[in-house]
Amino acid sequence: MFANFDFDVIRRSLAYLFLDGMTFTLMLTALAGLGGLAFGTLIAMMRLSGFALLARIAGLYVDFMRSLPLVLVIFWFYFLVPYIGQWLTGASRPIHVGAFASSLITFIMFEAAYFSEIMRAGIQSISKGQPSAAQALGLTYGQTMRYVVLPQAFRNMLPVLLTQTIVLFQDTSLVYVVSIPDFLGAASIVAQRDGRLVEMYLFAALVYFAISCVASFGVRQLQAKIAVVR
Amino acid sequence: MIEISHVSKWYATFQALKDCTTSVSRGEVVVVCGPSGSGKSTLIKCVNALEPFQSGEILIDGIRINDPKTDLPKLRARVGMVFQHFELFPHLKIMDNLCLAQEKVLGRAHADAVEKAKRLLDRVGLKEHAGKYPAELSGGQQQRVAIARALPWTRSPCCSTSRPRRSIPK
Repeated sequence: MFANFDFDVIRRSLAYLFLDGMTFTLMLTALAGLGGLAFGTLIAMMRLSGFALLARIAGLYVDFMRSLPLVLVIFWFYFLVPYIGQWLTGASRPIHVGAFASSLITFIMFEAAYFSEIMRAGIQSISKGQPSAAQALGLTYGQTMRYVVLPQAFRNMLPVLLTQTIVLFQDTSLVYVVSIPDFLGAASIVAQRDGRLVEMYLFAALVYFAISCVASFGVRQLQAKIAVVR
Repeated sequence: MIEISHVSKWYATFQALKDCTTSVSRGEVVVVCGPSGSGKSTLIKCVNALEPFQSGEILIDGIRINDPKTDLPKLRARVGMVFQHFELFPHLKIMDNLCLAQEKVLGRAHADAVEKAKRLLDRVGLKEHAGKYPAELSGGQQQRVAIARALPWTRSPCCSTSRPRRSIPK
């Protein structure tokens, strides 16, 4: 069945695939995950702030981002960010942002919408008795959030946050549409150069599958550990 | 001393407390009885300024709790409270449950807070459970921890509990 396939092409391109492609993919996942978490926390706090206008703006942002296909947002930002940069800096022509920066901004803004909903649900999952008990002990609002509410909320939402990060890891492959050589992009380049599409795409699928499976297993283990503590 | 004068509280159109007036002196034990939904817990929460009330006033050692100028965290640190569902912090071990407010509110050194917590746990018969999480204790044990957590305030003018001994085996 595999007589006409040349799987040696995988061995020959391993260094390029992992040192260039996978490094980019993991870096984009990590930076977009951290940035999305920070921005998402801000959006979640806006939604829970009690200020109607802030909550409405945050709600509209989340609904807007979640109703758009990611590939469209990647395209959109890739062409739009240089003009936004020009507008912000007052330059005479669109500024050069680069594919990595553009895709990073895209993923941070897109993922923040999803992370914010996870954060909001996590904070709201804490019973009202907990902050009351903390305040009854004399803790201030800030201390209550820092020592009582957020640690529990974060513990509750950690498995979902990590699952969303796994989805983000898979989604980063969409940057191929703007010709960025992430892991899938690198595999695609080798596949087309050597005419070995099936072998390379099969290998790329196996790598994504293996990493996602191991990460999902880790999340399940973590979930079980957290459940014991509860 | 706690002085409650003509306190009324509404939840939207439902009146939970109607013109409550009483006072509790130092050392006095007062039991508030009533059927479910009659406002017992609400009254205790009002004493701790955890629930706002629409009219009347509550004084703790002469300090008016519904005065905007009152430093509520400081005042609450003088009022021990045990909640109906205990509300121990599930992510913290029993020892940390007892030390948190001692360190963050009273400013005690960690070693002093631990020493005090050990004495309190010994007093409620749970010294050997200091390293456990609340979920690892029975309901009665959790309630005793909640009582111990409300006790570090040695100069507290009051310690209020909702349904005391509800879960402690007789």
